[in-house]
Amino acid sequence: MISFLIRWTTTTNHKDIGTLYLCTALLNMFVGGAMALGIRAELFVPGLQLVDPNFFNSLTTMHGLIMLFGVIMPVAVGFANWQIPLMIGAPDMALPRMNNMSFWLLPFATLMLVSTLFMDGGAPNFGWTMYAPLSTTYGPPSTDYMIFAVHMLGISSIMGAINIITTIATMRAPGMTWMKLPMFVWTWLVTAFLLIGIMPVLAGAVTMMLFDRNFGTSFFDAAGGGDPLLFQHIFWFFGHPEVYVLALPAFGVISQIIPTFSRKPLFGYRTMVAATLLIGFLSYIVWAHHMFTSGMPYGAQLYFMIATMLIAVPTGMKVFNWITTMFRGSLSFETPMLFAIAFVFMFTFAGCTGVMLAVAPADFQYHDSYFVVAHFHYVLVNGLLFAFFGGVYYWYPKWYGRMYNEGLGKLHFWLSTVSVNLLFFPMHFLGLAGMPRRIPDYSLQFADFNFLASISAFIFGFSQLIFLYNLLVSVRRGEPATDRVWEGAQGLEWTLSSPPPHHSFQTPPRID
Amino acid sequence: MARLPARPLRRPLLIKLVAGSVLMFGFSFALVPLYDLMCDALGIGKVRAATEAYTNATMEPHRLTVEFVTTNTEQLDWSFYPLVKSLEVSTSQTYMVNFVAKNNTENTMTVQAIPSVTPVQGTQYLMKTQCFCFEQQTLEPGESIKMPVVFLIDSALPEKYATLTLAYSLFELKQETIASRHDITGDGT
Repeated sequence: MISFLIRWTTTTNHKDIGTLYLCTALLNMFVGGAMALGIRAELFVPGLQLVDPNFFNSLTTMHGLIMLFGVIMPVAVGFANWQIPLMIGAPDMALPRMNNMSFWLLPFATLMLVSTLFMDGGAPNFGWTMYAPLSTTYGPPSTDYMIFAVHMLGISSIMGAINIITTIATMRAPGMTWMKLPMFVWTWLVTAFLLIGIMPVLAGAVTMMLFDRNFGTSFFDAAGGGDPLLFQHIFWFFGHPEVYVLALPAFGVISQIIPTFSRKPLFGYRTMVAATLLIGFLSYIVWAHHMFTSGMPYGAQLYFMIATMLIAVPTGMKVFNWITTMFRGSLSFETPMLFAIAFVFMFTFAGCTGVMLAVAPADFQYHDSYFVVAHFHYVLVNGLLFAFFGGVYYWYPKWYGRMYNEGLGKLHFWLSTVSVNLLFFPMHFLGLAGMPRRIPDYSLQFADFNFLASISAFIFGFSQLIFLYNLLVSVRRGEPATDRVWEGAQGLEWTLSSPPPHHSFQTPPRID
Repeated sequence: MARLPARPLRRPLLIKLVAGSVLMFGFSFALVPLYDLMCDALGIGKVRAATEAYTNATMEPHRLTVEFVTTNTEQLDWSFYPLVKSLEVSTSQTYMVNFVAKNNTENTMTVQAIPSVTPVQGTQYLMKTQCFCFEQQTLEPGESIKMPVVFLIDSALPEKYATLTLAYSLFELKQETIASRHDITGDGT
């Protein structure tokens, strides 16, 4: 037992750390999911029945923070740790000891975040966006713990990003030129640069919050010459690129899965790289579309509206390339491909509601309604989470040397897809009809759709146990996987054994 | 192609990446003055807009008389009077006048003055940028105090109001009302 603990706490191996990231993310997914079910249980019928309204606010806040910083980001870093050295022909990550540290900050930061639920005055209750003055003047005492947790998570991500950039820049196998990098590596390279650009800004924002709360400064306090609106600007300067930090790795995963099961190379590799770079750049200059209702001048609203819509162009290029990769391909529909196709379909839908929200005058109606909730859950759950499910099924046989159970995988897919759409799709209508977000009660006319959403939420939540069961059982009892695993698989990782040797590529492979 | 020289490349890259992170942390704090600069450059900001509207009023200034009147309430044994009874003023210009209050009682007392403008139609054109009526005054027995009012009349005031009267009534604040002072200092008048 002791040796087991020492092995996993001191490991510097990229595969071990990748597994640790993925397991942590999976655990956090069930923690954050339990909170989501708490929210949906309260919203099952109108009226206040299960939880105190303040605790409801804590639930929405903690659900958001945990799902973003504890699930989607770590799962993407887990994929990066596992896959980048395998895909570029390296023995390990460039900075293995820093890798260990950047992982181990994560569980403790998450623990600190979750511990606020048990503190006097309750957990942070102002939403994951932490708007001042809700988080400064009116925040509960536990807010300071949240701030330090965010600092730790930020440091962890920045170290992870530095490691990934260094690995990609210096550890590529001979002949692995930039334009031969697998798409997943490209998307993570851009993501890592985004992380270095934005995580320090978030750290700055929460530091200012900390100063306002404890040291009498007035960064966000109008009475002392500050401006609460400044917080929104700084936060969304982080917050919007953050969306692409989460999305780009998922794009990368999809760009690996679709060619494999279409048995064709990825269509338009160069435009794919260009689109990734363009998305990365544009994501920095559109943040204020989250703040249309804050009283910005019309000129600024117009600029942010147009710039935001511009992002639909590179994203559309990607969707076009994925569809064209499938076009006239020899398709087969194993579980990873099902998740990938569902991703393309539902993410495109989420992109369309995103363009709706980008229209400034229309946004005045949608703002802070369930329409927004529906939009970003379609992005994050139906889109990104599905992409990562697909990625896990796709690389699981390579990572652990055993096939997952295909039947259970398909069951997981179909239950999830049907329930997640019944869960989030009606929320669009609720939002358009005027149901506000982050409120534990609602008017009677919203009852039917909320009833449907809550039931579907429970089905979706419990469907994930199938996923968990499949992973846990298959790691011992699954069919042994071949080295290539998938008939159409291309890339360096498939030339290694399944599971890969301890030091992935001890002699660098040659790429022609 | 030859193997990329991994080791030598790593350190300078690492330094650049760490420096980039530190720089972006600094950038988040640089956003604080940058935000103000942007607001100034683009003319955003309600406070600024409000003051500019009055100082740069396009209307021609005109002259009128402002009278100052004081009253004590509830047999309050204080002396309370303005140092000038009336003032010939020009609109869009700032003036300061002083009032004197003296506590003639044996006790330390806290008072507050409540302003009003006659005729009432002139109220919205008389802007007090500083006024003792925004605050409470606590005086020892026999103590006196000189209290300033800084005001300006908007040029938009119709010329038919040739005289405005600014009247102050002095109220004693009992102990329990002192705690909730913000209820009575609203600048509605």
